[in-house]
Amino acid sequence: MSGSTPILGLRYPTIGDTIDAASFANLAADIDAQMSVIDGLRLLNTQRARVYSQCFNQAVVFNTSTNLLYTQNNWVLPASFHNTSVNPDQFVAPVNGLYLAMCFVSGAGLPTTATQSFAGITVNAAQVQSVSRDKQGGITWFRDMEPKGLLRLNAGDVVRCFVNWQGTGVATFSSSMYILQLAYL
Amino acid sequence: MKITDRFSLPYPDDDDFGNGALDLQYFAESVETQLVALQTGLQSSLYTQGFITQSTADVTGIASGGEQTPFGRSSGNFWNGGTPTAVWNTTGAGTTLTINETGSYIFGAYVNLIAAGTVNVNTLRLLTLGASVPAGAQFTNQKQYLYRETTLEPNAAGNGVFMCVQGMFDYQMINSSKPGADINNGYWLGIAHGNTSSTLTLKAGARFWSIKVADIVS
Repeated sequence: MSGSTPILGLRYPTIGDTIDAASFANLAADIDAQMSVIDGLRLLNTQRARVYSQCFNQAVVFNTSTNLLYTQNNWVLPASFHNTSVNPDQFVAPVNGLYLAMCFVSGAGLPTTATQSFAGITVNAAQVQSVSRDKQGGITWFRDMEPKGLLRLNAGDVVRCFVNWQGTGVATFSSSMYILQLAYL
Repeated sequence: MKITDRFSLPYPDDDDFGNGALDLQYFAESVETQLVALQTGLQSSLYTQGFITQSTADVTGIASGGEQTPFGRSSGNFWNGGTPTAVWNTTGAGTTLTINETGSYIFGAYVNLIAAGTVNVNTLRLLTLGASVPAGAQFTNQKQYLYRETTLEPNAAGNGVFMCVQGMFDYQMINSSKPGADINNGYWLGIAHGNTSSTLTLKAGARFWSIKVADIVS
């Protein structure tokens, strides 16, 4: 077996070689290996990594940025993306690439002593972006927050969503709803 | 030598002299051509091109009143991703973003605005994200894609306000020409506010991103 194709290295016999079962076996095995590579790419294309998680009623201490703990996965692929019981604040990128991140943090029901709220996204504990809301001219009503954006992640990078309630007179506030979605594009 | 119908893989025909080694070499080379084409196509669709730019210096002196455009619009900074102004760093999955190709794009921006001096509590902060696609052969009028977010400044602990807006736009190439750098053709950010007692500073770390998510087939 003395020849092979220039790019993928598919082995074939050359003139003078004995063509036997091994000649076909080697070529077939090489083709099989490359088809496995293609099948892997196909799976990445058709089953792109994504996660859609929620957490409920997490008590967040005022004036402190707090990572949210997502204890329910409505959808996760692959499973390594997010674990609801071990480090439920962490979303671990399974492959290199660009991801669309969308968070929803409900501020409904904040006490009247709150002055501002903001929620944000971190990558490997570094804040990349956030969204804030205030009392809307003194009215005790807070709009919900939706930090979102495009993230360039390497496999293993850790994404989190945090919230910070600013204000006085109260210690903690529990929102009824937090959502985080990450999708590989 | 015969070939298969779809991928043109060769095989000996009935009157082939039976040069098995050469036949297998032709076969292997043809298979390689098809496998490489399949891999290239899959990788192209998998590794979506996009870019993220992030400012590395504060932008000061944003006055109250009408909309200010510290980035984009007249400068055209955001087109083609690789050459933003000095205060922007660009990262992306691809080597070079070709934003001037027909397609549907997601784009967005994040800013943190802090008053340089006195804060006028509960005054407006407005962030507009726009994409302007010029009139041309494929449509009569200029298309404007506008997304906007408003909030108020509470003057809480000097945080300023954090704003984030995201949207989509469709871009159709005009006579194969690259978009120019003018108000009618490009991405832009608009900032308006009612903090009359001082200017605002757009803090370093502001981000802008865009990614093509679909082709447009006309």
